[in-house]
Amino acid sequence: MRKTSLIDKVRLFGRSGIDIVEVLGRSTIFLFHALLGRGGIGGGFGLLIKQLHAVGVMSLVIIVVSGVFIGMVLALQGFNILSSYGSEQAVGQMVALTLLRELGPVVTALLFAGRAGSALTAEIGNMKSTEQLSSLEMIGVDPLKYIVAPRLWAGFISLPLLAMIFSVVGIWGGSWVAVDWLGVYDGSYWANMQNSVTFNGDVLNGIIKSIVFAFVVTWIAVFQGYDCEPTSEGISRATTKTVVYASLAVLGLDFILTALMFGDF
Amino acid sequence: MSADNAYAVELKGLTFKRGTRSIFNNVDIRIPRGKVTGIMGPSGCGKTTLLRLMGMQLRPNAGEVWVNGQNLPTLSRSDLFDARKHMGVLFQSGALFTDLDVFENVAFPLRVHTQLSDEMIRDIVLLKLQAVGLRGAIDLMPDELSGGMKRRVALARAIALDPQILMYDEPFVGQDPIAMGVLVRLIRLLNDALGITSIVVSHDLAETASIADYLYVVGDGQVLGQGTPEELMNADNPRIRQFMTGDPDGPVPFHFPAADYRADLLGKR
Amino acid sequence: MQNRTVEIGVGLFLLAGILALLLLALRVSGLSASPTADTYKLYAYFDNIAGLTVRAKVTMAGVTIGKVTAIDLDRDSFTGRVTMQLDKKVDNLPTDSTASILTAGLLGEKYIGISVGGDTELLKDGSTIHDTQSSLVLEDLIGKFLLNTVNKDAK
Repeated sequence: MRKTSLIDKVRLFGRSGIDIVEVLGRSTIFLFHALLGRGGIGGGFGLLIKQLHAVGVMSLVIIVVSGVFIGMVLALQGFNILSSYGSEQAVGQMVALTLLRELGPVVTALLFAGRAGSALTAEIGNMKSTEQLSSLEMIGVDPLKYIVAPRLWAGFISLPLLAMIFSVVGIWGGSWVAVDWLGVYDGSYWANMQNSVTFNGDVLNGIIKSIVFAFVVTWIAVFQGYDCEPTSEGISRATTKTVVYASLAVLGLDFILTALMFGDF
Repeated sequence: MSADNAYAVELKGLTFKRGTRSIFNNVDIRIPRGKVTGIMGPSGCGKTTLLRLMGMQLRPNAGEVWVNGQNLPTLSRSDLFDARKHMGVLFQSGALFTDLDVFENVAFPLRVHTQLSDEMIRDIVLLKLQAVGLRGAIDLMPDELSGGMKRRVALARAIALDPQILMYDEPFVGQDPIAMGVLVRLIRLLNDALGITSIVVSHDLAETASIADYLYVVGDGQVLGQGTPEELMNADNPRIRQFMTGDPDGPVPFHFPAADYRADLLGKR
Repeated sequence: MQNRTVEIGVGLFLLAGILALLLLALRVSGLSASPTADTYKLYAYFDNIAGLTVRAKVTMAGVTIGKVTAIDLDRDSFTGRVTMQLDKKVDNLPTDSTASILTAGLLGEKYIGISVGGDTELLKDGSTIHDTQSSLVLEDLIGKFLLNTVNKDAK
């Protein structure tokens, strides 16, 4: 093993810092060209529909199943804790607030990064390695418009919708456990929820969160695919990066957004 | 200054660097119009890079790239995409769109760049597929095709818009003799029948020499030699001679540069 | 044909998303579709509003008839002034009605309950409810209870 001197280490550290800044700049220019360049979404509405199907509809199953189970678990846990204070009626509001403010947007974004994000990266990376992107360029079609833009928009649109569906089925799953199984009175489950959940404060903030997550996750996924090394190794590395970076970005941003929205400052 | 009309593509003083490594150093190449021009050289000398520079998929560090009287590096992004409509490229892998069938692949350039009716598009696609002999494969998906057939479909797609310049990136690599023979014949045939300018980038000496009207040999970031195939066969430049005859050792050494063999064996590092 | 199924799938997906939003708005957050324009304002002064928040509900006989829109301190009397918006439909409250701050359950949220008085004159937009009962503060209650016990022992 070669010894690296301290100077070398410092140099390497500085170099990786510069690399990070460079990638950030490149990805921003990439996003700018894809979204704001001439001509809007290349290929029109049909491509967007196709991508909405690939990105949104195909993620629906995992989102619905996870949503139901998470709602059920929340109700079960909440019931156990709340019943020791004799206020198990509050289980509805607990489930709803947890889902709307936190778990809905965050878990959906994480699942989305794993299901749709990795698929986007692999698909675009594969197109790059098989020279399909180059080929498009030489046919005179901008791949940023034709390949990237529809996928970006599909992600931006799909994730907030998925997050809302996740919350709804989660609340329904919670009511199933709390009301039908544990015997919480139906009326108080919903009434407590309606009393404590506000549309502007909770529902809207959750949607804003999921819009931000949608933007970040899709951007990372599509950029990693577009920027990957065009080999099978490069694609698998880029796919891993997508899931890791997107998850970290979602969790980090979630803290910042929560602090801004609910932190009272 | 506009380019000479006798040449479809002119590279003037082209320099291209990857990081600090120089791939091309002040290269001048002129591709005559209406002819088949071969660009040859050993693997890894940047032949494909040269094609990408001609299509402006890579930006040169210095120099001019004149294609059809336009200096590509000075064009805006959108003008560049327009300029590329006159170029067709056959990529090494064929680069068919894997989610579209053969028909849609060939129809793709027509759909995005023309307002032709569906029937017109169908006629043109059939015409082009007939030219490459694959009209029968019209409903197949790309992954149902063999490597040689993929390349032929890609060729049909490349000529769909009747380009003025057609570039082939290593068209003969990994082909069986029959497929290779078919491609060689097709390149010559299309060039003569459509009156286009063909640029064949390859290291397959015999095949390229058999169809090219003019040859360039590149290596070490420079043009080592140029001329008709006969002229090059008789060149006295030892590097060209080594490449044309396929000697394992010569100016391009067999050994990768290394320390003294004996010293290495004795472990004196 | 395959295109059609894709389009139908996407259409259903979008519909499901919109339906989810509607459910969240109406069923979960209880956002009522009726416009809130038809309201009138009432004020009430409390010695202690501890725990009451803006948007808390105002009820009468257990029925929600309005909400608290603002809470501030009255500089002259050093009492908390609560601004309420009541439904226009409930415009027949006598002037001597009582407003009291109540708690839903032992640890639940605070709300205002209004009980009817007997006066013939009615409260109008911008009037003040004078008869108020402040929030029940647990510490005070315990304090009073202890004091009572001590007093009884003294007798």
